[in-house]
Amino acid sequence: MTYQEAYDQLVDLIDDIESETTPLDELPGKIRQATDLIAYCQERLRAVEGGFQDAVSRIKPG
Amino acid sequence: MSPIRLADLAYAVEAVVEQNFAGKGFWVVAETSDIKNYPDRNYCFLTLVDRDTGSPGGRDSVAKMEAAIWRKNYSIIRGFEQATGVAFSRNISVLLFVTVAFHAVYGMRLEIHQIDHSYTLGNLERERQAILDMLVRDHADFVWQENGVYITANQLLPRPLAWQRLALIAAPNSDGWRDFRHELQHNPFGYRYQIDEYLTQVQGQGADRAICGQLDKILASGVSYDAVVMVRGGGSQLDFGSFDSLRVGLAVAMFPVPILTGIGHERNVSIADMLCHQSVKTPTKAAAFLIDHNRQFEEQCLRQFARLTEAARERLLGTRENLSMQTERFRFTTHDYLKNRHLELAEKSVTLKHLDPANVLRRGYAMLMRDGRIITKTSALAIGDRIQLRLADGVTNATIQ
Repeated sequence: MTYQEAYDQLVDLIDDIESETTPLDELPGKIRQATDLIAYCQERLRAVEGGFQDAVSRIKPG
Repeated sequence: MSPIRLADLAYAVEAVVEQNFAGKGFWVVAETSDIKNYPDRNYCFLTLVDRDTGSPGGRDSVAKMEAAIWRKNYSIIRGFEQATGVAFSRNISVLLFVTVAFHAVYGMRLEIHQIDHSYTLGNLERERQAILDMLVRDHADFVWQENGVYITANQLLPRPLAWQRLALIAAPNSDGWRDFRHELQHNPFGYRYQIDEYLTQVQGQGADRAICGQLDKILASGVSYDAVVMVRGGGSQLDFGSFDSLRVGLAVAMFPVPILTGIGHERNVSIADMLCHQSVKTPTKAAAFLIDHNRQFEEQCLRQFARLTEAARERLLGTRENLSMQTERFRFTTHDYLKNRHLELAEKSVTLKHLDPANVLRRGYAMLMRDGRIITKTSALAIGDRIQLRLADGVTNATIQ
């Protein structure tokens, strides 16, 4: 799954909860899914940020 | 008439010459021939000729005189060379300020006091112009004029982003060669250049052919050079003849690799300078030009890199902020959802409480029963009926009246 796909799914889930259309029984499932998606996005973001730092430090200006 | 001694005749001639020419100076146009220069002794002997240009071949002498430049005037030679860029050598047309003297032993001799630079410069200019006109006329594909400026194929060649592979034409072990290499190799940015040398004499007789020969070798090498650099230092001999020649001018204009000249002069611009891709004043400046161009390219790269990192950084920051925002939203949305469910339930149980019969009774209502059955209508009751009244705290009996 791409970062954008995960992110979009997360937003949809939160929209569902916010609109209160979710039956209570389905809430735990959605909570679990949302936290998984957040964790995934955070991990991906951290990885890209780390790679970026490495790339920048490899090029010495001047 | 009795014979006289040669010396007496010589002295007589000397006297006549002295009488008529002493203290008189003349500006004379002549052509040099047979120069014997003694720089360590500061004098120079030469032959001056006047050629009959009307005769076939235009080479017959109509006059020839010996001349000398003595110690006190010796500096005029260097002065002439520096101002005109022409070597003081044979077969050049010059305008001289001379005095006439006759010496019993050495004969008639002119003493040269001054050389007129502008006369020679004028001639040079004329010759140069004639060559340029010839180039424009006969080689219009490679040399033409626009608004009085000469444009050539060499000038229009595209420049590489960075100069790295160079072909160097210079005189071996010359100042020009040394200065250029030194400046290039000790540049402050640590740029490295590949320099292939095509060394030859660039001044004097036959130098124009030699230069063209090196240009041919460069083409034949099969190496794709970024530029050909032609340098020549100040040095003691100042001679632009080769760079003003038709042969070199044409070769430069036509050459398929950009030619850069740094041929070391202050005022004059040679034909090679005019027709090449880029001309600068000295070999050192030629090196500086190459270094500077590469520096611009490097700075451009660094700028792009800075842009790239800036854009990437912003993008990552934005993404991080968005994710944080959604995470927050998730937290309080879920919280609100659960809170609302609690509220709903609380509301329902309040309603239930109200509806509980026990609470209704507590509020002052009574339940009326007859024979264990609840009566809700007054029409169901008759006078004399025995009823039970259930109140909040218990039951009591009553009779309808």
